[in-house]
Amino acid sequence: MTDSSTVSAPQAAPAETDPFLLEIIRNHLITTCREMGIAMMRTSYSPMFNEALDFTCVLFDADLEMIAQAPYCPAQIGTTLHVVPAAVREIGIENINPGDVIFTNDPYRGDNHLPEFVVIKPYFHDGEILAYSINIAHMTDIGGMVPAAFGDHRNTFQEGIRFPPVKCYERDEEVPSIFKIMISNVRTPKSSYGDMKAMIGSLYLAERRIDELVQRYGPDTFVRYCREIKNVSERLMREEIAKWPDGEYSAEGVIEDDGVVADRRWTIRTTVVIRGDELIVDFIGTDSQCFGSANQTFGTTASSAYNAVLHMVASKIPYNQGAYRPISVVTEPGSFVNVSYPAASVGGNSDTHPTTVDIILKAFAQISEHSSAADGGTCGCIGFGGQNPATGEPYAHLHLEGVGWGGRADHDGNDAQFVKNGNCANTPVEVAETRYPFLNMAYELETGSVGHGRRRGGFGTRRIFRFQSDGVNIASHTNRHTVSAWGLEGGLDGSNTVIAFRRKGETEWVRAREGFGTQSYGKFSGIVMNEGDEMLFVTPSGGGYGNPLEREPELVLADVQEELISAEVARDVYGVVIRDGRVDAQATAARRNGQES
Amino acid sequence: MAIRAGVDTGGTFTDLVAFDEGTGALKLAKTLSTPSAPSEAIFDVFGKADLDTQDITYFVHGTTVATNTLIERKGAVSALFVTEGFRDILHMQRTTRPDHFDLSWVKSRGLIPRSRCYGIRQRTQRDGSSLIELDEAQVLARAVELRDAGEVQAIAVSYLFSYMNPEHERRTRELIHSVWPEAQVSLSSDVLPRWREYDRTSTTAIDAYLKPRLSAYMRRLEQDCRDGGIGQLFILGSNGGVMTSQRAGELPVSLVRSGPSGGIVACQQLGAMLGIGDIIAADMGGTSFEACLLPGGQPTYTNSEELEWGIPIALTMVDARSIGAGGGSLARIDAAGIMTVGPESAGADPGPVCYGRGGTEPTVTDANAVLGRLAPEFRLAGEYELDFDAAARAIDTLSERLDLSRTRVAQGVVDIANHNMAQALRLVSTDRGYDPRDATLLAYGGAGPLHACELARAMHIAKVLVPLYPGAFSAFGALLADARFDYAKTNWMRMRYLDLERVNEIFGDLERQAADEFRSEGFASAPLLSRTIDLRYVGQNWELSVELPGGTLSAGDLETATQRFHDEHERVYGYALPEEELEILTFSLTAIGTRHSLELPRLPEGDAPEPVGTRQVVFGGSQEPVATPLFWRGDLPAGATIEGPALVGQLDTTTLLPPGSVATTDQYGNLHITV
Amino acid sequence: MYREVNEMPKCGSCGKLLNVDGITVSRLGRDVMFCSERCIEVFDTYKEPKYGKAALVGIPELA
Repeated sequence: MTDSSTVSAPQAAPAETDPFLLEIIRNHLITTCREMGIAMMRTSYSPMFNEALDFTCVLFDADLEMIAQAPYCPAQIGTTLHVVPAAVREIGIENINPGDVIFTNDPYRGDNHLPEFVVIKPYFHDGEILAYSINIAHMTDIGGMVPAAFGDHRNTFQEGIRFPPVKCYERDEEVPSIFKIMISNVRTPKSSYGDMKAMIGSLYLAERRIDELVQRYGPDTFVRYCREIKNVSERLMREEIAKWPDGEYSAEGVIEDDGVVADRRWTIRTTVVIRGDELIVDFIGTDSQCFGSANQTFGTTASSAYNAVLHMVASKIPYNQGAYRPISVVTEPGSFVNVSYPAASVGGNSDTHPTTVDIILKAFAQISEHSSAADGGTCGCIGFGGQNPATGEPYAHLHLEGVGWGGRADHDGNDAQFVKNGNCANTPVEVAETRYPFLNMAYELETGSVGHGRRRGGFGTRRIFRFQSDGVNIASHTNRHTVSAWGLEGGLDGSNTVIAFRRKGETEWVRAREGFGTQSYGKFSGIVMNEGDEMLFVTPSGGGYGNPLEREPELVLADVQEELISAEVARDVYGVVIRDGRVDAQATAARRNGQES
Repeated sequence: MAIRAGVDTGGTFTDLVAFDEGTGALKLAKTLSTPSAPSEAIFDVFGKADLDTQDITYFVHGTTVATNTLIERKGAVSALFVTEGFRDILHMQRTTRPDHFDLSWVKSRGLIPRSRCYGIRQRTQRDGSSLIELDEAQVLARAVELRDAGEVQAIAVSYLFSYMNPEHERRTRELIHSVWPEAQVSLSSDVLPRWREYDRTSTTAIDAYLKPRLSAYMRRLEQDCRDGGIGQLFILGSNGGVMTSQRAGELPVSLVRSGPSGGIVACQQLGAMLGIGDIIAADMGGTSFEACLLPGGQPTYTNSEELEWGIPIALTMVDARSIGAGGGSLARIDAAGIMTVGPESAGADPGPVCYGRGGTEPTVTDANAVLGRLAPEFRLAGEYELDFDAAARAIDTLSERLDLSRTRVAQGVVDIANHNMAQALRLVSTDRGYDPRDATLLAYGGAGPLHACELARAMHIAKVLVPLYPGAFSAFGALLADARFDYAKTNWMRMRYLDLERVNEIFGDLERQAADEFRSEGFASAPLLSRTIDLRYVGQNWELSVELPGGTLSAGDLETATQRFHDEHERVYGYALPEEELEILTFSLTAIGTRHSLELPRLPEGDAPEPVGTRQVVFGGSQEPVATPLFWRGDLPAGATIEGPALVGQLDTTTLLPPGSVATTDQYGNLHITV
Repeated sequence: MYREVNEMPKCGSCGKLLNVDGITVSRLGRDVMFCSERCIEVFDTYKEPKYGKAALVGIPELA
């Protein structure tokens, strides 16, 4: 079958698909994506990459379709299906040579938002492109109006520098003009350059691993098996979709504001259309695009649709383009979910996206118990920028946070977990404080308030920053300050986000609108903190699932013993009476019956 | 009559390798493990080898008690003292999830419940200075409360930046012991003085969690050894070094995952004895496959191990990459008709179908049986017969669904298993920038020698080495292991502002610590020291380790280290940035105390004997069985050459020699194979 | 000659920007570009039956 005792001359492709070889090739490609990620983590400069892991590595085949991914960031994965072919085809396949790397961050051409840099390296064999290795990563600073790119932007020019598809490497050499332009337009030239080198390094590593496969099995077999890998996943996805009942299932939700117009909400409407073994996610009926940067690009919206569907699929399908083929998206250009030039969209991918996914999951809840209540619904993007007094060097840091996830049919939501469109880790306090001039005075769960339910939501977190230098620029694009994560099946809504400030010597916290005259509690820029000032950041909890009065009393007791909820909440919300550290079964039954009648 | 013994208590079997200093002979014995009372199997296996425990002067024990305590969650009721405001550090973990599309994943709880995590008023800053002094009254009050409640047995103490300044942690321990002397306390500045608070706290919590049980186990073992008249007792750690049972009880976290380290040490020692250069260790057991790279014959180490997903144990450990591929790995067909092998496993119980102990699903071992690679003459551990018909029937359930022949399917199962293992081998070699083609594949574990040659061919490795006792290689390693203690201190420093005096001061402190501990462990001579620094480009966040010479360091030494870093970065990641400045993160010291060397017994010279039988074996490619001679390992003299195809059987494993390979026995009985 | 994205067509079904040529067909009395055969199918079997003339709201006329 496979005689690996010699470096093989390419073998004649077998007539039928060999199930063992398919598994071997598929596995090899997925492992390659993981390895790319490890290299990226270890060589990159920004904590966004080496701590938060906000990047993704994927592989595409000769058909410009995705053949492999690893568990990175869902938002980035989905968007590659659109931005990669758009970028490669605009350059033109006939214009690409071995050693070239294509680069873009254009949100209108399929990327999910401006900070997401995409680098694409075609793999050549005997003059033909057989595959592409891709790294898509969230650059902390891209120039523009505010450090770390999140805030109350009104157009894309304020957001930062935009690269339509260009070549940043030609025949294995840097294209100097591209790097010069990029470095001249960001606040952190050194780390941005280092990060780009790390991204491109991972592409070269992938190429070596792909080459191993092609050398062993031959180019024809490689191309054929890439197609078959996708077909297998497509078959599995169609089987999953076919399990759901045909029909149209609608749901809607809101984003509380756009950072520009105070108190104006933006509604996203979606209909999940199931027809046999295919699925359409239709966003027609969604509001038109907003004035700030909460808009989603097409790439983001397509990604949110895939994201929701893949979360609903209970069994393990190998994720590649085949699994995405049966899913179609319908949007109206110029709407909140398909922003048109030159409107802004940096917040849309990070912070509108989780709500969009959860709205689609709300639609699915009509036909499946596998769905869950909404998660906290914000990435917690707060940008810090300034000059480090110890070194005199400028810095830009994007802070991200976990939230509580929604309760689900058979289990509470997880605590302190990053929202569904990403998979970012929290930066260790010791790492952040060694680099940047601020302290963390607290970082713990925000207990007490959560989306109660038979299965409650998970808890968010509470963090207090204390600044150690003057002139720290704070900007933010967050959600759920006034709108909450919804519950399902009688579960209650979750608790809210809080961003508040306290000047040195003060005792009361003030929020952005009251203290600094911003239009929004969560979307603003230009707040300046000085030495000794503090900032409070509480992230939201998830919604509950099911009636709290049906929660098992032992679980309520455990939550009280763990100091997650109080005995008063146990009694008032869950109807569970606790005396002397135990459940009073009689009093509980009485209380619960009393409540119900 | 002085005997030196190494015993490894594994999941299924407890193995013994004993060396008789008088006769120079080696003995091997195996018995079933007794997980509920591990000492029973230890003394049982001494009996099986006909050893009088009074003759044992030196005994090294590789134990799974620490690992099992964690897996079964049977550790102590513990508490955590942490900087105020950070009590949920074990609970919040890292905010990532393992599968990015899985709504059903439940985040695991840490080992210490939230209600027993206490914030203590204190705060150390990035430079080691105190922002808030330690609230001693609060510590005392909390200690008294816990003592009086009578539930907590162990306390982990982990404050932010304790690696910069451990004073608050040490004072906390003093205060706890002043009111509660029996409390078992673990300090993060003792366990792991490295930055990244979650990793450090998690590792320290594991240490506290294990302490009561492990220290009690050590005391009992010490007593049993005293009663049996055994001389020195040492315990094998996860860094491949031995330590006294006293130390093992004080730092039990260093025993977690000590299983693989025995085998790696054996590779290192055997490689040194035979003068082999680069080694790739391949350990294939019933459930898992472990790969480790030994460049130049020296093991590689990691600080990134995890107890389970999201729960780190960040001690320095032998860097073995583990995947779910073993003799018991289950072969299944998924909904799309694609074959998968592992990671689920039948383990040792019920085990492969052909073991006849109740297994029903086909495994890799069953596939090997169908291909004729396991001979009926070679019984499992010399005792159990294999049921070949049952293996064939199990494989048939797969071949019917795939509409392929039984042989084709069995070969496919083995191919996928081999591919998965080759992936693990790649992860430790080519992905670290090492070309494995010049390395020797050292195969061990119960199933390793069966797959070794095909694995080597898949990796384009030309040489395979199968040691004399592959199934008891970890016990062999335990016997040979040196004492090895690792010390580290994170102290961030930029090369541009290099404070050479401070660098030498830090190393001086570490060396003094090493010398003191070696003395208190009962070593007469001073340890061998090796020093490294962790470097990275300014702005990066993950470091690479570079070696430094001994003695007082000069500016020139640091410049050489800088150049080595650029070279290493190029080798591992494919590029370097020679213009860029570097920063130092962590200073590490390893102190090694060498044991007496061991001269392995030599075999008489001779030619290969006549085979003891013939089997029809299928080798990859043809699917037609080939008449294959069988040899018994014990019959092979030094210098005997066997050409593939052949099977070489022994008590603890079978070696498969495919057509085209040639095996020669060396003077110690190791098989050197050219594939 | 370089052109900015606001001068590029959008797919008549999914609404994606088409920076490279798509498939042009006649629908609702005018030429409409689509990104793929699949989107044409979605338009014909879902979007147009459901929304009628409004199915092309937001899709600019081809230049």
